[in-house]
Amino acid sequence: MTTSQVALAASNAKLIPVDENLLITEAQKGDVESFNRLVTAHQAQVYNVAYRIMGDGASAADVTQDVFISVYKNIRSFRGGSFKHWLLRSTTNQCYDALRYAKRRPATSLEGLGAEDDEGDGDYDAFVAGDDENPHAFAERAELRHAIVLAMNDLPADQRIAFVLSDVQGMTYEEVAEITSANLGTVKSRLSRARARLRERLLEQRELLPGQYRQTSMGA
Amino acid sequence: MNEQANETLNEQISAYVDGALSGRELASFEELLAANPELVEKIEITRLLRQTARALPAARLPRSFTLPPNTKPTLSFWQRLFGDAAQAQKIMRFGSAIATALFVFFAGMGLLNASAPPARVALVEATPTSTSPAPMVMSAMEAPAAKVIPIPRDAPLLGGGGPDIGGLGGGPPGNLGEQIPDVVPTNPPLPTAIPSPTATPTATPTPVVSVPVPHTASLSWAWVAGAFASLVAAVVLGVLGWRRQR
Repeated sequence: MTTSQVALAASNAKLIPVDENLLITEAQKGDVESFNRLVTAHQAQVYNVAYRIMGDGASAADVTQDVFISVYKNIRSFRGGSFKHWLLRSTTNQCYDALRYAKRRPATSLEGLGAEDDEGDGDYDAFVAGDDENPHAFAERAELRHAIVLAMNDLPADQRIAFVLSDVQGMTYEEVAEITSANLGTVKSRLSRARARLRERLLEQRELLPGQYRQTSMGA
Repeated sequence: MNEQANETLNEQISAYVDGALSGRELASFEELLAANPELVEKIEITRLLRQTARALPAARLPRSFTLPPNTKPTLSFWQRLFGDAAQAQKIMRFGSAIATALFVFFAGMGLLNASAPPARVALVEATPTSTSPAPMVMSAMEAPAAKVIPIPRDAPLLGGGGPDIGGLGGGPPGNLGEQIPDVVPTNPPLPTAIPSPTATPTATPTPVVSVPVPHTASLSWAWVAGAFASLVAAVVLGVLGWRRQR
């Protein structure tokens, strides 16, 4: 038994957090259990990124499964650095492929027919109005969110990915550039175009905007 | 506003909202903002967009994406060949060192072979009657003694012999061209031509030129091929070992 295997066994017994590099090393040797611990640690983020890029739960689940299978097959080619970024790069690549495939062979998901919008698979706690929020404001916020999500699905793939990583996931320009294998200028350009498009869509539906923006629009 | 200017403005709005404009750019953009109140609305909407996107709820996982425990690992070619990655790296390093030593051996033997003194000379036979003589290169051991040209019995002899026995060699120079115009070479003789020692006095002397053979001719292709192959092996194994180390 190697040192890393001993450390893993000890961590399993005591349920202490394990160094990610150790898990990666073991996974590179073909240890499925170590790999599954990496999956457990990252699957929520991978699924969420795929979900926001693909726009529906079924496609996001397919992409997520494909990502982890692909990563398991290619984990030996991981040369260090941020494992999360490496995973997300694989996720965005799989999303590109899936979007391209969907464009060639358009089909309607049966799962998607039941759900009226993206929030069908979401965390419902986020939709409960807070104590300081009246039902009207809560409804406005939900409508605005729904409009943004619909507008996001109409963005070109590269702009959508930049927007999801930057504005939904809250990553920096540099992180987005690393994940998408693009330079900083390209990332800024894609992001500004995505924001401009979404902004135009919102300005076309001013009734969805909060009160102060509607007043501004009337004044203008 | 043209498309390029519009794009630049959108990038500035995006950077401003992210706080990514530097001092001079920021001052310039704020001047633009003061002069264009409609830009303020665009910035406010962009901020709202960013906040709302950031607050989108996390999607609930439909299932776990862990792999079944009996999933077979896909081993790389090197892992199938050598097993453990560290062991593969050691083997590659060792192989690279061996290949480097072989390269030194082959290259050294090749150079030694090439620097040995040439044991051969080339003889160039100048054909007197030919208008465009083709030199023939061969080793001294392989070269025939001389090319004997048959001469008719009643033809005057060249070389040696005085005029009283019909030889032309010792006669006055003026008679030479008149009596045997076709036998005398039309090409000027080569400066280093030497007559073959085994030629008979009655035969037309065939000039032979000795030329040193270039050293490359003695290089053995086996050494070169061995050196090249071992150099390639050393480089390939070294690079593979280095990549594994990274």
